[in-house]
Amino acid sequence: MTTVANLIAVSTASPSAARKLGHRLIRRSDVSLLLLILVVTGVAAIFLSDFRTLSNINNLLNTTALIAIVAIGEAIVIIARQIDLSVGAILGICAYLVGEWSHRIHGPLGPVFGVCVALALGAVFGLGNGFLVSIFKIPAIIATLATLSIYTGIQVIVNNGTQLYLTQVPPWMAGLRGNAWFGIGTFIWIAFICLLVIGFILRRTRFGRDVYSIGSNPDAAIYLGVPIRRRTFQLFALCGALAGLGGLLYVSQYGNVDATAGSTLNLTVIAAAVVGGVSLFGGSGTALSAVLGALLLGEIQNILELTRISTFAVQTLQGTAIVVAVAVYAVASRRQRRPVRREARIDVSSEGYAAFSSLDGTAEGAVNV
Amino acid sequence: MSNVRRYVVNWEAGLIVLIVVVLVGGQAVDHDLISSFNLQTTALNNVVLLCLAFGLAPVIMTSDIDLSVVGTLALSGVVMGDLFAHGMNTWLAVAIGLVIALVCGLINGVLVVLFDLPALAVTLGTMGAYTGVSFLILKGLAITTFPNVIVSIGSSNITGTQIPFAVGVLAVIGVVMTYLLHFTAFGRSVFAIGGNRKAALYSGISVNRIRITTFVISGFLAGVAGLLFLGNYQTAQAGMGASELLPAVTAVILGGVSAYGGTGTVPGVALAAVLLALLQSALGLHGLSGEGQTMAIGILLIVAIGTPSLARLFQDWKRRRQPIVSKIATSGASANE
Amino acid sequence: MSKGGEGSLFKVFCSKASSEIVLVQKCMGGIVKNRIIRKSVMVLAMAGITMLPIAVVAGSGPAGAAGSTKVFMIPKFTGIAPFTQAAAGCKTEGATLGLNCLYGGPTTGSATLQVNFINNAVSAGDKGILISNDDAATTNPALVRAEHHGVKVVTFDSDALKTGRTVYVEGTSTASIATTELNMLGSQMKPAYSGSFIILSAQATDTNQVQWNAQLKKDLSMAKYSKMKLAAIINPPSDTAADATTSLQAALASYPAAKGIISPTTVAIAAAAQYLTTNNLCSKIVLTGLGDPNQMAPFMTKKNNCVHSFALWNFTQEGKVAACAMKAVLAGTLTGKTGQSFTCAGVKEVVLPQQTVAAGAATVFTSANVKSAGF
Repeated sequence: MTTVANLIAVSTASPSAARKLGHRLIRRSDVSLLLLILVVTGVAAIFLSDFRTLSNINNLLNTTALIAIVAIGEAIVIIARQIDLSVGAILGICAYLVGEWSHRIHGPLGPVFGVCVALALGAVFGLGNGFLVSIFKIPAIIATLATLSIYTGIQVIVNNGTQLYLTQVPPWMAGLRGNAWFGIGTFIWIAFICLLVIGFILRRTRFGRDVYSIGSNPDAAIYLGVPIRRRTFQLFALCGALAGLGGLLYVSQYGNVDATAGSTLNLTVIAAAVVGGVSLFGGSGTALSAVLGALLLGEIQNILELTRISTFAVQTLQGTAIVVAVAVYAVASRRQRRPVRREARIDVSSEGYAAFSSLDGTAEGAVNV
Repeated sequence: MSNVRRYVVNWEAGLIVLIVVVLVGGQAVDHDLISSFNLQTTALNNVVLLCLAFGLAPVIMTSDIDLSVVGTLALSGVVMGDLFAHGMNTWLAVAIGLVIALVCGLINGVLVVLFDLPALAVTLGTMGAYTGVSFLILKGLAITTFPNVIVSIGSSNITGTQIPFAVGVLAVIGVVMTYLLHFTAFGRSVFAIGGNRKAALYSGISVNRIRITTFVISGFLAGVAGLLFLGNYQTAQAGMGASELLPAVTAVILGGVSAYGGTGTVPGVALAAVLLALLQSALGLHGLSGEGQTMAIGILLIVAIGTPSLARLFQDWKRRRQPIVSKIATSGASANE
Repeated sequence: MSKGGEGSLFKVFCSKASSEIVLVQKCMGGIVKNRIIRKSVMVLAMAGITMLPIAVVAGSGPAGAAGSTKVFMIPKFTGIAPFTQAAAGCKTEGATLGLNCLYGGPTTGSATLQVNFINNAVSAGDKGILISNDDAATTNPALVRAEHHGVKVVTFDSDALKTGRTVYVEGTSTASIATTELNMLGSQMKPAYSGSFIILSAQATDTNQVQWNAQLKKDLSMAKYSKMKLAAIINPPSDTAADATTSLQAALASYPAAKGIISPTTVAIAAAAQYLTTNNLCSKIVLTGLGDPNQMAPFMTKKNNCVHSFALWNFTQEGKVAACAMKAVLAGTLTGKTGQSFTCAGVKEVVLPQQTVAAGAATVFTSANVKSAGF
């Protein structure tokens, strides 16, 4: 019994401390990432004349916007110490179906209908993931691996051997990419709105706070009374909804939806979140992190293209960028936290905390201490 | 220990039952499943997958993951192919390729273990990096001529039998891995680390060394998989083998290795790979489309992993429905255990 | 043990076990039989649950007219219209010839996945394989093995190595594709037929792309095209719109002097058209190549006339000719020697060098006829 009391005492003490630490950490890492992006942009703009053309910047931001929107959804899932490998397939299905169904609705209600359908459809597929993770208790990486194959299969069936052509899509959807409101492309506006909305949700709502608690300390979250099951459903649904919205944008970006739509996106989105500072251990990161990560990756690719470095080198450099980013964040965050991971030292005061924040974080780990 | 083995044997028994079901059902419906040609080609199509799975098994058992195995496969395969094309001695080229694969695994191990970075992110990055290097070496070209001995290893049968040589190679690897993971102290440490890393550390296991070793093993076997790929498909091109990652991970998970680590067996992984291969063959023979086959694998994975949890949920629900009186009686009885 | 049998044994020996392993440790004692029965039922239920959706998805298996010969058609990948049309052509023409033309392939352009389908076709006893190869070298071992087993191989759209097939049916002759592309591009360039251009192709191993691009390079030495310069051949890593767009963006940055793009693949030309439109480059860069009329129609309107002309041949026709060729090969009358011929729907097809048959002529599409195409 004393063990349990100890655990509860430690758990009530540490999550709020961890969360405060986490929030401070987030702000610092986001700011430093923003500075890094500004520096890179500045250097590129000075040395590469092609970089600072309006069309290049416009292109860069618009392409990044699509990835950023889906990356925000992925970030939510990763913050909760889960993962979603099926976002690309969800995007592809929604791109096709939303494009096809939107043709039936005319008039000003069209965009509203389209966006709602995209969000709802994506959420449905996301709920499928949530169901597997919370009811079937399948680890997220396996569940979403399985749903990746299932949803890809559904995508092929839905496409039925053909594609969705631009002529079959309502004009507001087809022109979304090319339009601009007040001089800034619609994609960028949509990404900005998503950033604000999700940022607000994560910071100020109970849902957001619960996502962070689940991610930083799942066992403590149970003791704190967080409705884990409901939150799991909700966060996967939210991720799916954002992927669906990305699908809506996809139609306009590439003008054509076939059965491979979104397939290249799966790992890129996770890479964007990771580079942006969303830790795969859970509990830290914001929507802004995901957006900045997507922006940095997009910028690196753009610069590599413009400096005429062999296109074959791009993949290598992107992979290395991910590893470097992860290493930098790990080192930076370790300096913030107490040294609980030093193997040799057994720090009595932090032992309870250490037991919880052990890398497996499973129930067995807690009980066995 | 024997009880754990009995639990574990239950999973393998389940796999064997499913394999029998697929064989019998598939043969009954299509009459072509059990023919020497079909079994040979099915086996050859899946040797790369199984080799990757054998390498991934210890990594996942220590609750890490290694997504970069396909990158290592591509890189070592491309290097070997390139060296073959330049006329280097076959075995020297193979040795160089395998050493490169070892180094790739070592890099992964160092990054994940010594720098304490999340394995998923790191191996995601190194997968891109290794695949990218394979592109840098070979660009868009493909190498299509290989020394005869490599081709025989990859595609021919063991002389005098109907069994492909590659299957024999895998059998040897399987036996070695089984011994390593189930009959040595190393293997026991792997399971201990997977079950509870802190406890393993406190009981004196050198966690870092073992974890790095698992990454090196997965890298090495990815190199061997690259060699088998070259022999089987007789082509080396940048980015080869990328489609084998998800099936390999599926085979490992289906084989009973928990994603959290600490459980699973190597024979289980082999059985799971056999099941996947036969299932795809049976479905393909029946005329199921490509997407239908991948969907079937996904559903199988969910059912296989989800059923134990559902069973446990059902048990919990049943236990909760017991009347309180007998609960007190049993808690008294178990307190006296 | 009180009444309740297995239930009470369960309660006595299995206390608050939190994991399955502990449960087993405590319960193995008296309830082995029941556990085994339960596990077997669970496993069989798993098998049943897995098979049910598969049976539903599979629908009716390959049903064909009694007595018809089964042949299997494998596209580069399923899901784009050209291959679906070829399959339809094969089916309709095959039905008149007594062939049951089955269709199946991977969902992504991967030759290693195609190998599975080749092997399955042989195992299933199909008499012929029609295949459009993602990579001639990778599928070759499997095709050679198929031929050893007496299965005839006819390639269409994208060839294999000579050792792996009897005859190759191309949509239209390689030579005409190359000259049509150069003519379409050259006529739109300002000044005509001069300037540098890039080829936005598909995967580097796609046999048909390699052949067409090689022919085009050869043709550039002709006097008519002497002022046109090929800056680069771009090979996106996969046949998807996203990769084609990324590769195009990089290419335009690397070759800013390029005035034109030839894209001999329907996926990439559509992606390129959309890219040029959204970046307002339509007036600066000429885009042409091989495209699907349905995909290109939005770019040939009054509002958006990014593309002025492109070409394609009739894939349904190609599928029909492939079926006829297969029939002739199975009958033994067609062995691939230059000059041999066979009839298909009343049209005589002749075998050209390299065991090739051209299924028809390419149609050049402009805004005038793009909508009316019966594709």
